[in-house]
Amino acid sequence: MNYSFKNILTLAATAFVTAGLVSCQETEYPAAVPASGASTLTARVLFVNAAPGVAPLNFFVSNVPAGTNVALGSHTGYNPTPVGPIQLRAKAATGAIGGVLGTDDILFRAGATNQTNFTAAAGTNHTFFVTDTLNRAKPTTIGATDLGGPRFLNVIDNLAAPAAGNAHIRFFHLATNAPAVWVNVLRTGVTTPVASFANRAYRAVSTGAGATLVNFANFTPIVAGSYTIEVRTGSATGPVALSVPGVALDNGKIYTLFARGLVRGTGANALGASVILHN
Amino acid sequence: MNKKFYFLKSAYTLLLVAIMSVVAQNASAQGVTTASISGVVTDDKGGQLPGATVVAIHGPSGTKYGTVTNVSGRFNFPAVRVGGPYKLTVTFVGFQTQSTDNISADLGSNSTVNFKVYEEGKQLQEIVVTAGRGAVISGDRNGASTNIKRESFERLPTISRSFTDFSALTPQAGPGFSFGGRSSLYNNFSIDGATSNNVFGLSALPGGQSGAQPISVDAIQELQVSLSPYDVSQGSFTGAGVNAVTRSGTNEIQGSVYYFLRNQSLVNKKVGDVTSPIIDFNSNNFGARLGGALIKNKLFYFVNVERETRTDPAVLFPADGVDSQGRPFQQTSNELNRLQNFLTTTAPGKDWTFDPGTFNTFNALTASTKFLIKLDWNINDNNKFTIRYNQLDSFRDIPPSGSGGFAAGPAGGRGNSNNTLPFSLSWYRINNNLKNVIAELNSTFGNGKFANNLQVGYSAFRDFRQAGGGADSPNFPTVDILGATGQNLTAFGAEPFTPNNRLDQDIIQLNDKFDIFAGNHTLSIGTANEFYSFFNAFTPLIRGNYRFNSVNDFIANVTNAPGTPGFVAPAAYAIQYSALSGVDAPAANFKSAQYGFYVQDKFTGIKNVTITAGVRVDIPTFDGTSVVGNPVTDEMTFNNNEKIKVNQLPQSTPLWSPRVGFNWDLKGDKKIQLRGGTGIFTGRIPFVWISNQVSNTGALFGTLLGSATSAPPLNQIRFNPNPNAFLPPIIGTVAKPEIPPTFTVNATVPNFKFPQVWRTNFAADVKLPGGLIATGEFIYTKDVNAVFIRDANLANPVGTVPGDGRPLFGAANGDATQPAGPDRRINDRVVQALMVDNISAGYSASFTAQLQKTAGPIQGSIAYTYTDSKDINGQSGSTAGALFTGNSVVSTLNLPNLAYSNNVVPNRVNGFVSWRKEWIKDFLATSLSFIYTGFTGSNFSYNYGGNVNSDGYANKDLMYIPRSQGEIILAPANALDPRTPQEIWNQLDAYISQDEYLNSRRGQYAERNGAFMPWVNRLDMRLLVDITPFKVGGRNLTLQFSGEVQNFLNLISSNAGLVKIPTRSQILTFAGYEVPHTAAAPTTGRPVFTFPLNTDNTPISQTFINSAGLGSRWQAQIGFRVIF
Repeated sequence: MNYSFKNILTLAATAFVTAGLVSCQETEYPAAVPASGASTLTARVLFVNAAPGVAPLNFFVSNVPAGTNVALGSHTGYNPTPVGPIQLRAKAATGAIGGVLGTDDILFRAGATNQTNFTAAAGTNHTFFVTDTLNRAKPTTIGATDLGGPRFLNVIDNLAAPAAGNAHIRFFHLATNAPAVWVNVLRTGVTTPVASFANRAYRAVSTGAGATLVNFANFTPIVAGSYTIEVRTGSATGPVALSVPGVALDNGKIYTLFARGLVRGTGANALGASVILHN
Repeated sequence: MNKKFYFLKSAYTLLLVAIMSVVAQNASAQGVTTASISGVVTDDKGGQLPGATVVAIHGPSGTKYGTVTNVSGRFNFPAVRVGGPYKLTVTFVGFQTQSTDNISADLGSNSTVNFKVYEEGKQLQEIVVTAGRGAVISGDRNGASTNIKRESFERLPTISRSFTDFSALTPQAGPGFSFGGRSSLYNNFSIDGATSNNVFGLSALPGGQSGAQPISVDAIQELQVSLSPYDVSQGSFTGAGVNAVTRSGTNEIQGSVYYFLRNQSLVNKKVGDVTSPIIDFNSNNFGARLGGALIKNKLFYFVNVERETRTDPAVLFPADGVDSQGRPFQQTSNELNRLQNFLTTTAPGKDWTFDPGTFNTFNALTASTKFLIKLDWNINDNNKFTIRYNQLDSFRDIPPSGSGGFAAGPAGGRGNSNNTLPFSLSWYRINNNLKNVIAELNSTFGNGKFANNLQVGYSAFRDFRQAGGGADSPNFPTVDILGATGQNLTAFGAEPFTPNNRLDQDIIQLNDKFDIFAGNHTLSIGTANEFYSFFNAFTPLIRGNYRFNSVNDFIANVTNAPGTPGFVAPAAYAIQYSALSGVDAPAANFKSAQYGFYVQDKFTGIKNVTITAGVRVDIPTFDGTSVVGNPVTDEMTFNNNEKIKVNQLPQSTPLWSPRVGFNWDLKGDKKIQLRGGTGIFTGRIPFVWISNQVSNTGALFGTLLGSATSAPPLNQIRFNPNPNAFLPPIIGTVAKPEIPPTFTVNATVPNFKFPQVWRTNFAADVKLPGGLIATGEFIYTKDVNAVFIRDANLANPVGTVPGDGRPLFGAANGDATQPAGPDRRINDRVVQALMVDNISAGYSASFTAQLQKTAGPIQGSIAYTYTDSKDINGQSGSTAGALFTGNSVVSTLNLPNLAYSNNVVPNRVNGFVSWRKEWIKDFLATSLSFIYTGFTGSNFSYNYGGNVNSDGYANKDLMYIPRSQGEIILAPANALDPRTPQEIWNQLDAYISQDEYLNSRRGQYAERNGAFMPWVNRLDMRLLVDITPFKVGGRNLTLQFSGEVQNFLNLISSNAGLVKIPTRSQILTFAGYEVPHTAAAPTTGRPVFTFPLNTDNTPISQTFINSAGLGSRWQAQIGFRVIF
């Protein structure tokens, strides 16, 4: 009897170990297919210093240098960037930014917490202006983490080639304390403007909504030539605040014009206009 | 369904009547309550002696059991009182009377006592009595079990005075109240046979939410943790069966009065070298027990009462306080006073008042009262009756939940912080109450040929919530008011989840076991039945929730009419309301029953071998007649063409549990024993998973979320103290429910089966010199019917995540506003359709090596256990939804990969030693005990922060561990991050390299629960000093002083006994995809990640830091006790 029980036990143990081995098979995780290198996709960003009173700036994309010593009214060339979330930053070329920011940098800030980075899409070109004075007050809205002072303004650049014989042009109002402006692009000696940009408020990049939306970032085609740029306040026929003669708009070129400086500003901060050539 | 239910009911009744009429008198089943003593009487030539009279007397109570040996010379006392010592006497005409004493009887175990008797007149040589080692070496023992006796309860350390500290002495124990890696919700806990775990499953044990113990350790006689009892009379678990029996009175009056104290000065103020004192608290435990005889040898009583209270300060961040760096808290008494004054007085435009309670500190209480009374009646030598009642009343004060229910909660939550200070009435008090009565009748008749055990029990669990301090929850909305930081400043009104919150569980038990002792066979037939009734009301946000951006906004909103110049709209408004007309608080109200029947034979016909073979059938039934249907989902088709009937509870499926076990005493000398068995075990699921179905049919509730387009629109909502002010007309009825535009449903598949496992174990016990016993034990458990939850409304993946390879789901969450692009909802109106289903994947295996000594002045045990346990679902969620989202996945939450169980502890060493010494006889004695547990730390999953696979569930996606920089796209974490992508990679790469687990998984996904925290050493110590200064009534009166220290190593050095935890388990945060990655073309952009910095901008560079929690600190308790 002893032997037979031993045999039963051995048999049972063998069966159990076999069953155990069979049932030990595991559900495996799927095979990983990781990225295999840097993206072939890129976006491009161009930085402009349009902030009156701000010292020359060094620009960075995700903390990689993207232009140095850019003074008020000047700009960098296009910098290729990764697509997806990227961080944009401007530091004073020497010393601190000062003003409200003190030693803090000028940062692109988005999202509810004002901490979110910019999202760049493949094949897209962007212009980032640094606007506002050193002393723009910190907003009083609930939960605001915007520190005040200079900040970024982003527009998309449609760099499609102008039609033959044409240039492309657009305008932004970045003169901090100036009222809304009407801009006329005039041929020398002709009073009817070739192109006009009506009722542009400070930092406005669009007006209207839905069907009436006008995107100020869109370029306006204009026959290549030399023009006077006239900036008026109050209305299209209001007083002339600024007139820049002899602005050459060349065939096939794409331009951004922007008003900068301060009303009653002096020196570098005087009211003026600057031109960015995008191509 | 119902027809079937009633058919079963009547079939059952018939069978029960049949059993009862056979029995005619009075049995043990689910939970074990007794011990047994058996043996063989032989003459000096080795011949079996039938007809010998054997009497067993339980010394302390004089309880007498008598029987006669059968044709094989075998005698059985199938159900004797646990403990001892017993004296056994054999008499037989013509033979010398022989007896032995000091036999102890362990819970759920058989003590074997064999006699060899000599003819009268023959020269008495030696008295030959061989007795087994109780619970360890015993012919009835086949599976894995651990017994913890009263002496251990009296001597071993437990600062929480919890029996779970002792059940953890089981070598296979895991964290919490888990065993062998399985969920603690799969245990069955019985007190005197009465089902005493929380079968609803919001916690494993009663009092789980209120921090109370269901029973005092002073009332427990013995505890048995049984992992694989091949005795089919035990059931209702796939984890462990944990059985406690309470003390009984004896002929001598015995009692004790005791008091234990803990507070913050008895806790280490340092963690490692860092000084970090814990907050003041005060914990008191006092109680008494008394046992004695009402009629000597006949009728006994035992009573225990215990009261435990703990007070913690409610407000740790007071108004006008400042933080450690001197920065003021957001909450000022000025602002809160202004609000309080506004609320408590009338004003122009405000004719109501409301008292929100105080914002000053108060004592948050945790309190429990336990009461137990037991009567044991020795009716005669053949019939013993026991009835026991116990009660637990407990509560705990808890700050308001920060959750927003179906809407978003306020930033910063509602609990007290450096920004937030809620008013006291918004706290809530959770009450966990329990009343339980159980009666048991043990009978033998037919001259010891038959035995019966009958148990009848009733348990009533009553869990409910009140407002802070035990007041009624006010019929007033929850109001959150933000401060200047954008974080919640304060909350007042009803705690959002408290109104109507109630869980009533009623359980009736009826068990009977009938044994027939026929030669070498012991045949048992029996039934174990539980009848459940559940009522669960949970009505989140039923009083509504307003949010205002400031106190000023609130006042302006209250005092001005919408549209007038001073009016300010709320920042948010949300309410969940009953969608059933005339039903204020829809509740899950359903019944269920589990019928169990079994038959078993214990065969002792092979020399030195005991074989147990039996089969049990469990038939769960559900009565879903009160479940409100959902005509909308009835018409829908879900993934894989599944149809869902939300009002159809699972069908009854008989669940068979055949088991066979053996015990082989190799040489018949009780020195080497091989034992084991194999068989199916059937458990229950936590009934909350069924209740979720009843309360989430989509028909019970409607929601209103204030917005520009809601009715009324948000800018027309003026605060109204009446919670129902803005509700639409309620037109739904139970017969014709009105289904809201979007809803969630929970359901079970029609053929859902309760969990079943196939458990096999094999063990050897060897008696060594010096009273030591060595054991090697192997247990293997295979899931037969594991439970898993899937969302039947989750569409199949639309592709794979580029640059990763895991499945990618449609981005659109499917409501009507997002018609374009791949949609992850199959039916847009259904947010989730959670189906409780079965799967056969999952296993757990353990190997234990143990050395123990169970008798003598020094007793102890040391064991090493290796455990491997994997499952498909974590099985630890207290709701079906939590179970579904509680898993980390690579593929899909609808079928997680087989991975380590939440409770698996791969390596564990545990042991205890207890030493008692009497220094001056009858005056001074001490006992010193230690419990050591060394174990692999908890496991965790390395998930991405965010939702990479677009399935709608954030922080659940297991990370891929890159081999090189080219395998991951990194970006600065936010606008402030000072690092370049190259610097971020360098930091990440260094982090992965220093982390043993991550480094070993480069080029692979992390596994769910694949990483383990470092080894933890924990030594608990208890010192008892007994002084017996005088006698009272001829008996010693002992004063006992106790000091016990949890984490004694930490007392020796603050750098020892530390628990290390990961700094961060989400080391990578999903920041978005490369663009383009559109709804229409979701598989084009690769995910971009950030590797976040510490708050001080330093990189995270090491995985583990010292936990500052109580686990890393020594804690002490002092106590005083009078024993008589």
